[in-house]
Amino acid sequence: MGTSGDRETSDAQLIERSLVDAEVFAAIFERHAESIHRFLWRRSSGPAVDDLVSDVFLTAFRRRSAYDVTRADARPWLFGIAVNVLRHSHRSEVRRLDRDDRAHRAWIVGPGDDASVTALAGVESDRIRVALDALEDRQRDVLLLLAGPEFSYEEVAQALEIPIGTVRSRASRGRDRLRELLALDGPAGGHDQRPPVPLTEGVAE
Amino acid sequence: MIDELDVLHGYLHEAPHPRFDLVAETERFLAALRSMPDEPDEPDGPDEPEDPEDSGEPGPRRPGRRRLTRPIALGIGAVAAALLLVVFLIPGVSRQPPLAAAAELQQIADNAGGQAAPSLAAGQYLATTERISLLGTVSDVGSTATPDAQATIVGTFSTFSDRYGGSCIAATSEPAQFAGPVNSQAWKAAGMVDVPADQPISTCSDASASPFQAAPIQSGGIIDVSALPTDPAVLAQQLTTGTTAVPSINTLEPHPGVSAGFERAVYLMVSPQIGATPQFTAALYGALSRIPGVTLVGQQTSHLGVSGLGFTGSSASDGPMIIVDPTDGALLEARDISSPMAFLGLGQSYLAPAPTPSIGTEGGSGGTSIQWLDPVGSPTVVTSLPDGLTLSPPAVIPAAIEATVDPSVAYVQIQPLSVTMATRYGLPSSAGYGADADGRGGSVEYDLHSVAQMRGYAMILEASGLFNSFRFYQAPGQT
Repeated sequence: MGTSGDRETSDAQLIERSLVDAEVFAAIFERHAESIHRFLWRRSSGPAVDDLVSDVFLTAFRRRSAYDVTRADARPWLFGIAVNVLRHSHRSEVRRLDRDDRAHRAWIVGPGDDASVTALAGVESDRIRVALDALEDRQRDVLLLLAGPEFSYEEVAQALEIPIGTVRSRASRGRDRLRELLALDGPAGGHDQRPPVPLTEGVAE
Repeated sequence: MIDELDVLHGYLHEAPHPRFDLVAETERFLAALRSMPDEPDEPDGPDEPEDPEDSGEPGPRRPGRRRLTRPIALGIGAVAAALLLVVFLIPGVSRQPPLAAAAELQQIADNAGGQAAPSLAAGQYLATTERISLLGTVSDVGSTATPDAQATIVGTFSTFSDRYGGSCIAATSEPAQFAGPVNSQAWKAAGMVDVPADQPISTCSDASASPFQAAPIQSGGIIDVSALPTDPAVLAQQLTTGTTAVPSINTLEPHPGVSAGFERAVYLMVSPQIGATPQFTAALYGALSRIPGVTLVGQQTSHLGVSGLGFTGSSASDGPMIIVDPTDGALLEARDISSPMAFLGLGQSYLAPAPTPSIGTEGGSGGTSIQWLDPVGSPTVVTSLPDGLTLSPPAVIPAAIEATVDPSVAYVQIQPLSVTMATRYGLPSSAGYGADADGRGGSVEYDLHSVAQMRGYAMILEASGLFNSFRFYQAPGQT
């Protein structure tokens, strides 16, 4: 790879060079794999995350000829692919479970979870994970990109290939919905008039 | 006021994160890159149509994009979707007049029942290997029929199972063989390759650890025959009427003129399986002796050169047949039978990689059928698995609860209970929730670290009124 991965070389330049020398694309992996791994880890099931990271970068590699080389930073592009990979991995899991006659089984705390996490942290994580699962895909994608890599609305628009106005509206609805699901204090706000989900039914804490 | 994005940010960033070995992963990625065709692919389009309720200004445009235009369509799934029942005439097989098949089969059943049952200790695996010859066929690509796109696919298929019910399969396909140049050309034109990629193909499935959830009777093409009856009369009735516990056997469409019971029994014999015992093998031959239309063909020789008794379920001279060792009931060969789903992957290995215009890009259908299948030797006990395969024993669960959810209750209503129980009594070792198709009802299972923890969980679950019934599990010795 030589010095292809030095920080003075933009992602776009590396991707362009990789069209001639495919191995240059490994520099894109070196730069961004760890942040993609962290992003995917919280939304996937433990050991499979390394494979998901590979899926993201191999997909990016196959699509690199379509990359807009006027965009120096490839992060929005890579995280957009990561969001799609996440969605497809969940669908694959559902299909696999269906095939095994275990339809709609969703593990909520699995053996692969980190046992060192304190009970309360684990509970809170569990609660947020469930709330995220309850969001519509399109709202979840936007919120994850806003809160994970801390993208701007414009970068989210680039990542998901949707208009920036659509990002704003999905973010607004997603935040309202997440507030309901997490039963956070304060007004729900926004324009969504749906009744809140009865999270407090059952045994009160 | 707490901001929901701050909560989400904390969730994504503040939890412990496993170490990511960048050097090793980069090397792995490079290795994957080197094994890929270097032709860049086209990007996928958006995953879904835009939400008509979404409003906003026009989205970003990408100046100067360079695209390779090529239609993308589903094809791989379509290949697996259709099983073709192709009859292949084996030359040189002379069928004798029907003899006393029932008597022979009953004798074989008696002999099989007297065999020693394999016994597995921890760390041991039962290994079986089969040589298999499939007829792979591509029926159509896009809207064009491809009647000449046929190839013979020969491969080796191995199954490994542990004492707990876990299993692995590993398969290797050899270069495709063609009856003539026209078949070879049609095969390639349909987007198939002569030499399969990514060999061997393999997959493993660990045994279920749940004290409540029985392992599925069929998973990944492997059938757990321990759940099938060992009464030959009952088994014969289930095979004949298609009412076994294995859906893929029940829905099998037999060849025209062939006994459905016979064909289902053979499908069961050749499917990769776990849980087989001498009693089950005896029951299977006992069932065959009771299925109408099964006849004795006489002495036959398998493709691996082993002689045994042949049986068929067809009045035709070229119908499905099995060759059996009459001394112990071992299957020596099965010919001209429908392909169990476990073998579909062998055919899919020949799909050409993108971007070749093919069944993989334009869609189409095809399938495989078994020309012959020969077990290689007898099942053996081994102490290691091939590279890349792993099987783990199920985790020990001291205590567990399974609760049946009221059909009116949804998952989001149960979730606060999980939070409450974990806060008061600690996290479970694992927990699972399975809803009905409408997302309500179903059951929830909590695998717990101790009986005391189970009692705490039980108290909260029972008080909630969200569940209709409970089952409790306490491992031996746990108090």
